[in-house]
Amino acid sequence: MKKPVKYPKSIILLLVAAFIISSCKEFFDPDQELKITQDQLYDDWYEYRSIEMGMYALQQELAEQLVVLGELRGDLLTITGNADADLVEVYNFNISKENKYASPTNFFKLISACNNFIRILKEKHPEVLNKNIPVTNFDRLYGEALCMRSWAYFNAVRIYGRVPFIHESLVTMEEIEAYVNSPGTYIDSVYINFSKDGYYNDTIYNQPITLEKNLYDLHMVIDYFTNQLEKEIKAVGVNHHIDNNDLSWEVTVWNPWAMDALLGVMYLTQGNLVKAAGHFRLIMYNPSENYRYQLDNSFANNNWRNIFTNIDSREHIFTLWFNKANFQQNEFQMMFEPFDPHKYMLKPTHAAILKWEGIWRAQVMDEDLANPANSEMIFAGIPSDFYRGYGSSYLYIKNGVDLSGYEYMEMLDLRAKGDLRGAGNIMDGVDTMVFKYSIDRNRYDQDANLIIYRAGSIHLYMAEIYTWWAFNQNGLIRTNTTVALGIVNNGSNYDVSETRVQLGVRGRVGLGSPNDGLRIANISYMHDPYTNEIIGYKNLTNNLLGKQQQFEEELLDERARELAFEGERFNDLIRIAKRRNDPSFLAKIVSAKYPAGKREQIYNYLLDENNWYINYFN
Amino acid sequence: MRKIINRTTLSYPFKSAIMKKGIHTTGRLRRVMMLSLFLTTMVFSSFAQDSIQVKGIVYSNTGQPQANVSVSIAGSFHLPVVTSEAGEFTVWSSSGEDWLILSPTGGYKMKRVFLNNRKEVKIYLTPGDISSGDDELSVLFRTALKRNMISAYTDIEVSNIRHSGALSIDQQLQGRAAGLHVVNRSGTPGSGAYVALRGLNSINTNNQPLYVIDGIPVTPHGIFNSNLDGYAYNPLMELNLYDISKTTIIKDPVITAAYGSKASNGLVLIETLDPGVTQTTIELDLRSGLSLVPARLIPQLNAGQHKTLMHEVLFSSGKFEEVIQEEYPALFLTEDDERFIDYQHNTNWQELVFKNSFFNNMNINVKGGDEIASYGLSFGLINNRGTIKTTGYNGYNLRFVSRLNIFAWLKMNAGVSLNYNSSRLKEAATVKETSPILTSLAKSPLLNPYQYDIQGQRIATLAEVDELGVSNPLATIQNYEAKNTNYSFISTLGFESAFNRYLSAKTKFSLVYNVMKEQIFMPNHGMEHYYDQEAINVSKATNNDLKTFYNNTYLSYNRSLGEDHTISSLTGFNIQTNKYELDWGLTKNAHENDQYRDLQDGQDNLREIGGQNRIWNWFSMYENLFYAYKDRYLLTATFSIDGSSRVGDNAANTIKLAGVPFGVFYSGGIAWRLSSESLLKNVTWLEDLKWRISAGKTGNDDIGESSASNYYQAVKFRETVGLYPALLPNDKLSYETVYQINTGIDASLWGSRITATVDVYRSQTNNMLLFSPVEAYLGYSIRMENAGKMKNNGWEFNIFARIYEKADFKWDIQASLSHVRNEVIEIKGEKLVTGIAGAEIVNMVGSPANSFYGYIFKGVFSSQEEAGAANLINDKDIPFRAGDAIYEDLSGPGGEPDGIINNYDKLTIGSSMPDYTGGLINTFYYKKFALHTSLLFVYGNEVFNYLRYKNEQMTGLENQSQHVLNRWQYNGQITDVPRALWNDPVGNSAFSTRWIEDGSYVRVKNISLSYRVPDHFLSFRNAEFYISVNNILTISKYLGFDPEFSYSYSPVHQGVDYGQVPQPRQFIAGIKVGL
Repeated sequence: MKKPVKYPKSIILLLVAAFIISSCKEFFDPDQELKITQDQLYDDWYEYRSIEMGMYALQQELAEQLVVLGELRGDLLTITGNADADLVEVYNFNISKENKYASPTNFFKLISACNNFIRILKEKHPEVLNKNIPVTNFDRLYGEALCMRSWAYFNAVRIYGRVPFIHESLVTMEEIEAYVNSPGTYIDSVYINFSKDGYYNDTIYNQPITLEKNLYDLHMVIDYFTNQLEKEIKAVGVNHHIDNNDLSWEVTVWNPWAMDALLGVMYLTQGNLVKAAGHFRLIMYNPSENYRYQLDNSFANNNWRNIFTNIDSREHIFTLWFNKANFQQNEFQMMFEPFDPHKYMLKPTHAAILKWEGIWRAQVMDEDLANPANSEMIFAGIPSDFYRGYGSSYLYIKNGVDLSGYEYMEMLDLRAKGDLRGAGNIMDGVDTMVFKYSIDRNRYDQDANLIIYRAGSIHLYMAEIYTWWAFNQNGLIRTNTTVALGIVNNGSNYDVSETRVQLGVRGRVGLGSPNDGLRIANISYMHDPYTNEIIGYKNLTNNLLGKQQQFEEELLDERARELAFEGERFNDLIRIAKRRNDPSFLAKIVSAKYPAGKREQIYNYLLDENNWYINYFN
Repeated sequence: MRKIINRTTLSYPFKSAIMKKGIHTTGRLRRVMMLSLFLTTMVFSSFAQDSIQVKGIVYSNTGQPQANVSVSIAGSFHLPVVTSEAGEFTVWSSSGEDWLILSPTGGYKMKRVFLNNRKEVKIYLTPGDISSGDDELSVLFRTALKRNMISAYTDIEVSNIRHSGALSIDQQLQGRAAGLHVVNRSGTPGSGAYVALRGLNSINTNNQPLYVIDGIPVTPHGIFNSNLDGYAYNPLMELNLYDISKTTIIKDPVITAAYGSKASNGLVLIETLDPGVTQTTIELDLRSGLSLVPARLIPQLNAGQHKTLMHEVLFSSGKFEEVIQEEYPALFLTEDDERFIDYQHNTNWQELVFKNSFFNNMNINVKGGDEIASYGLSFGLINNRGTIKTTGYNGYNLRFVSRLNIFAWLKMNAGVSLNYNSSRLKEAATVKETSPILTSLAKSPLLNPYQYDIQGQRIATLAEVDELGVSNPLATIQNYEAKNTNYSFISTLGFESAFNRYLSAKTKFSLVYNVMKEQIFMPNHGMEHYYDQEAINVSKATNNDLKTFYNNTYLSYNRSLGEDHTISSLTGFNIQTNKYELDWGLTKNAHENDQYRDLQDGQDNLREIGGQNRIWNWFSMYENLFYAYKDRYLLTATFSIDGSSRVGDNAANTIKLAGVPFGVFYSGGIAWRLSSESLLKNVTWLEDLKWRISAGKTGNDDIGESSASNYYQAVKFRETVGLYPALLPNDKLSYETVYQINTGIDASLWGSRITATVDVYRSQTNNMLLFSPVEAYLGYSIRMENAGKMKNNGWEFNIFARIYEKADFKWDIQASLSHVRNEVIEIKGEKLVTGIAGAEIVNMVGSPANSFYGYIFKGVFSSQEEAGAANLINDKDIPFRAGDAIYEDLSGPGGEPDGIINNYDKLTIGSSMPDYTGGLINTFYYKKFALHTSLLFVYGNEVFNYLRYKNEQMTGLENQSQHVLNRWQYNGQITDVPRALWNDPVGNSAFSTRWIEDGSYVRVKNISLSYRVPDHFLSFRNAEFYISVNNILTISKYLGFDPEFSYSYSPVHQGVDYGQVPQPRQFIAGIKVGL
C-alpha cells in the first residue's frame, strides 16, 4: 500500500475548521422566513402598527364569550335543546374550568400582547410617557394599548371577580408564575363603597382591605386602570385608515370617545357617579364633529336596525369589526340561527320578548289621581316596540321562514283581545331567534359586528346617573329626574336646534311622546302586558327613593329593549343590585327564566354575591 | 514479524486489508484470496513452533460427518488438511489459542473456529442458505460479524421481497422482527406502514424509526403535509424494494446513540445495490397480480328496513308528520310522482365502489465493471391499481451507484436515485361528503346511482343528492379527483482513503430534493355540499418541497494488539441542513358545471392560501469504540454530541460549546461469550452462547423549528394584517431523551441449525416533549415543554430452526414473539385529553400513552321504570329514558356519583398498543421448489371502530348496519342497541366502550410457491417462477373490514378505524431471470 498522502487529512481539518469558524450561531439558529421573531420587529412605525393590529385581532376573539357570559347568565337569553354542554353549564351557573366560553385565556392573551407592546413602547419610545412632548403616532398606539388592556381587565374582573394582575415588566412565563405564586398579601387602604344616592351623599369608607397580592378585585382593577388612563394617556386613536373613504376605521379602533365610554362605565360600576358623568358628558355633549353622538333621526324608526348592519360614527363609539371577505368571522349566527348549518343553541327568553311586545304606543289613560284605583285605559294603544323588537332584535321562525308582519300583528291583536288560543294557533311551531346578529346577513356570512359602546347605551347610562343625581339645597332636595326623562324620552336635555331635531332613546323609535314615553309620577301603574289594562298601582307620593328605584327599573327595561343581547345585561343587573345592596334583586330577575324547582335553586344560589362571578382564579 | 501476520487472522484488519486491495469479498473469490494469503503467511511463519496437536471431526448441521473439508490453522505454515470420510482431521497449533479455518465444499459456509485451548473439537458446518454468526453485517459504516454484535438487532431476510405485496420496506418488515410492530396503513397502494419499535417513545413528536439508506438518512415521516384526509406521505416509496440487498433493524442504544438526537425510535439500516462485481450481471423481474375486493362487506339495512328506520328517526325529532312530509317528500312518494321510480331500488352501494384490480411490476437490475470502476443500475416500474375504483399508484424509479478506484489510496463512489410516482386517491371516512367507503355505507339503498329521464328510462348521468342527503358514492368515484405526485432526487458522492493499515477516512455527501404536489377537486354533481354547505365545489392544491444536504465524515481505526486484543474506533461528524416549503391554496364555488377546476376559478372571498417555511440544521460529532478480548469478552461505547437548530438557546440538560447548546448522548455495552468459557467450550453442539447487556441514552429533537423562539403570528384584522406573539416561548426547550437498558442472550446450536435470541428491556423517555397545559393567566392554553416521562417494559424472543433436512427436503421455521407494556409515568396536570374525530384520547399517569377516553357503556334502559330508577341526566341536563344508553356513573365533582353523566365519568377504555405481537414463518424446500408461509398475530389491543360508530348511531337519515335491527323500539325490550334518535341530544352514541373493539387478529400474511429453474434454462440464469397469495386468511372478532389500519403516522390516531381501504387479498405470479 502506498504511504498515506497528507492532503486528505488537511482537507478534512480545513473543512472542520471552516465549519466551526463559519457562523456557528447562524447554523444553529437559522431564520425561519415566514416566522417573524421579536428581534426582527419594532423597527419602524408600520411594524409597531401591525403589532397593534394583532392586538385588535385578539380582541375579536372575545366576542362570543362576552355575549354568552353577559347575556346567558342574565334574564334575556336562554338555551335551546341544541345547546352544547358548555352553554348548559353557563346557563346553570355551574361552570367548570374546561368550559370554552368561560375560559379566561383569551382575555389574558390580549393582556399579554398588550403588556409586551406597552413594555417595548416604553423602552424604545420613552416619549410616550412624557406629556410635554408633542403627540406622535406612537403616543396614540400607546394610548390604544392601554385602553385595550384596561378594557380586557375590566371585563375579566367583572366576569371572574378577582383576576391576577400581571404587570408589563414581567416578561417570561417563569417570571409571571413566580410573581403570581409568590406568597404575600396586598393591602389597599382605600375602599370606595357603592353609594346608592350618588352625588349628594357619596359615602366613601376608608378601610384597609387585604387581598392576596396576585389577585385584583373589581375595585382594585378600576382604581388602577382609571388612574392609568387618566394620567398616562396623551392621545388615543391612530388614523389607521387603509382605505381613506372608510370612516368606520375610526370607531373600530380605540378612540377618545371609546376611552371616555370605558372610563365612564368603570366609574359607574364603581359607583362614582360624578366621574362617570364627567366622561359620558364628553361623549354626549362634545361639540366636535357636530355633536356626533346626539340622538337625532339618523337611526329613527325603521332605521334603528341599521345600527346592526353598518358601522356609523353617529352611533358607534367602539365596535368589534368582523367581515367575511377578510376572513374575520364569529359564531353568533351559528349560536342564534335555526337554519342549516347553524346550530340554534340560544334563544331569547319569554321575558325578553315581553319587554318589546308588552309596551304600547299612543296609549291614553284616564287617570284619577285622587283615587288611582279608578284610573283606567281609554285607549290601550298599539302593542309592541315594533322598530327595536320584532324583526330587529328577535324574529319568529315557522318552518324555516320568518313570520310575516301581518301574522305578527294579528297575533298581537288577538292576544290584546284576550284570544290567547287564536294567538296560539298562529304561534304554533314557531321558533324564536335572536335576530340582531343576522340582520341583512346571508346564512354564510357569520360576520356580525359586536358593538362595545354606542350612543344609545351611553345616553341610558347618563339617564341612570341623572336619576340618582340629587342634591340638598337648604333642606330642599332637588333632583334631576327631568333630565333623565328627557334623555330617555325625547332628547329635551339638549338645546333645541331647528335644523337637528333631538329624539331621545325612545323618541328614536316612536315611543317618546307623552302618551308612550316613560314617566315619573306619584302613582306608578302596573299594566297587563297583553292587554295593557291597569292591573295595579303603587303610590310613591313623597317617596323620592321609591320613585328613583321605580325609574331605575324602567331604565333597566329600556336598556333591555335597546341593548338586548349585546353582552351587558348581566353587568347591568349586577350594577343595580349592588347599588341597592340587594342581591335578591338580581336573583329574582335572573331566576325567573328557569323552570320551577330549578328557579328556587338558582334564586338561592344568586343570593350570594360571590356566585355572580366565575371563581376561576380562587 | 510473526505478530504482524497473526494480526491478519483477526477479523477486521483482515477484511479491510482485502478490501483495500480492491478485491471483492464475496463468494468463491474470497475463498481463493484467503487461501493465497495463508500460503504467503506460511512462508513468514516458519519460526513458529506448532507443537499442540488438535484432533477434530467435522459434521454437517444434521450431524453427518463431512469429508473433504479443508481445515487449516490461521497463521500456520502448514498446508491445510482435508477431512477423511469420517470427517476427521488433525492439525498442529502453536498456542492453543489459534483459529481454525474450515473451507468446506458442497454448499456449506466457510467457518472460523476459535480453538480455545481445546485438543479435540467437533465442528458443525452451516449450510449456505442459513444465516450464521460468521456472516457480516454493516453497521455504523463498517462491517461486523453477527456473532460479535453487542446490540439487539434483527437482520431481515430480503430474498422473499418479490413474493409479498409490500411496496415499501416498512411493510416488508411486518412479522419478521421481534419488537417491531408494523401496521399497514391501508390497502391503498403505496400507503406504507406505521412502525413502532419497542412500544412508544414519544407522544407529540416523531416516533418512527430512523431509516438510513446507504448511509443517507431518509426524509422523516410527518414532514410533508397533505390536504387529503387519510393520506400521509410515505418517504420510503423513494426506495425500490428490489434494490435492497440488506436490511438490519437496530433496537437498542449501542448503535443508535451514534445518531444522537435522531434515532431514539430505533434504526433501520438499508443497503441497496452493491456494485461489487466484476462480471456483468443482468436480472429481470416481472410480476403481475390481482387484488380482490373485500370478501366480507358490511351487512347494511335493505331498502325497506332503511325506510322504516328513517321514519323512526324523523319522528323521534318531535316534529309533526305534516312537517316531516313537507321536508322529506321523498319518503312519502306515490306511484304517480315522477320521482317515484328513483326510490324503488335496493342498491348494495358497497359493491359499486370496490373493484378487483390488477397490478404489475417490472424491474431490471444491472451490475458490472472491472477493478477500476464498477457500477450498479436498477430501473423499476410499478403500476398498481387500488381496490377502490379509479384509485391507483404508478411510478418508476432509477438508481445508479458506482465505485471508482482513483488511486490506491483514494476511492470514490457516486450515486443517483430518481423516483417519480403518482397516485390517484380518495379520502378516508372523516370527510363524510367525499369518502367512498363512508358514503357507500350511508347512502340509502332505496336509491340508485343514475338518473331517470321523463320516460322512466335510466340514463348514464349520475344521480344528484336529494333531501335525504349523502353524496352519490359513484360520484365520489367518478367525479371526485385527488392526484398526488411525488418526485424525489437523491445524489450522493463519497470519498474513501486509507492512510495506513489501521487508519482510514471516509466522507459522503448527499443532496436530496423531494417534491410532492397534490391536486384535489371536490365536485358539485352528485355530491353533498362542503364546508358547512357553503361550498358547492372545491379545488385544492398543495405543494411540498424539501431540500436536504447531508454529510457524514469519519475516521476509522482498527487494530489488534497482541494476540488477545482487538480495538476499533470510529470518529466522525454529521452535518445536515434542511429547507422545507409548503404552499397550499383552496378555492370554493367555481362554476356549477364542475368544468373549472383551477385555483383562480373560485369565488374571490372564499379563496384561502397558506404555507409553511421551515429550516432546520443538525450537526453531531460521534465516537464509537469497540474492544474484544480473546473472542470472549466484547465491549463497546458510543457517544454523540448533537447540536440542533430546533432546541432553545438555553436548552436544559445540554452542554454549551461556543455559546451553542449541545446534547450529549451515549451508550455502552458488554457481551460475554459463555460458550468459550471452560465449562461450556467442550459442549460441541453449542456453537455460540453469548450474554450481552447494553444501556444508553438517545434523543429526539423533533420539536418544531420555532417552539423555542419568540415569534409572532400573522393574523388578519380588518383589511390589513397584524401580528401577535404566537406562543409562550420556551428557550429551555430541549431534547427529549430515551434511556434504554437491554439485556439478551444469543444462542446458536449445531452449526446455526438453531439460533435463538431473547431480549429483555426497559426504556424510559424523560423530558418528554409535550404540549403542556399552562395557567390561563399566561394567555395561552398550552406550551411546548419538556414535561413528562413514559416507560416501556418488554421482552422479545426470536428463533430460527431448520426442523428437518434430508436429501431433497428441508423445513425451516422462523418465529418471533414480543411483549411490551407502555405506561405514562409523569405528566404535567392530571391528564391531557385530546379530541379527535369521534373520540377522545387521554394521556394520564398509570395508563398507556394515547389511551381511549370515554364512558362505560352498560347497555340500554329497557323500560321507563328502569330509567326512572337510575335517574341519570347527561351533561346537558337531559334525562336518560327508556331506550337510551346506560353509562356507568363513576364520579362527580364531589368524588361521588352524582347522577350526571359528564366528564367525571370518563376513564381510559383501551389502548391501541398490543400486548403481544408475533410472527411465524415456515419454509419448505423440495428439490427446486420452495413453499413459504408467513403468519402473524397481534393480541391485546383495543381499537375504535369509527366506521361502525357512524354506521350504528341512528341519529340521521344515513343507512346503517343490520345490527341496528336490534334497536330498542318498545317499553320492556331488552337489547343493547339504543333507540333511534334524531341528532342524539341524549348522547346515546357518545364515545364509550360501545365503540371499542378487540383489535386482536391472526393473519396468514403470505403463502408463496416458487420454483427455481435449473441453470441455463433457455440461456437464462437463476430463473425463478413463483406464485404467491397475500392476506389469504384473517381471524379476528373485529366487525370492520380489516383489523389492521393506521390513519396517520401520528401515535394519537393509532387504533382508530377512519374507514381506510381494507388490505386486499392478492394473487401474484412472477418470474425472475438472470441474463
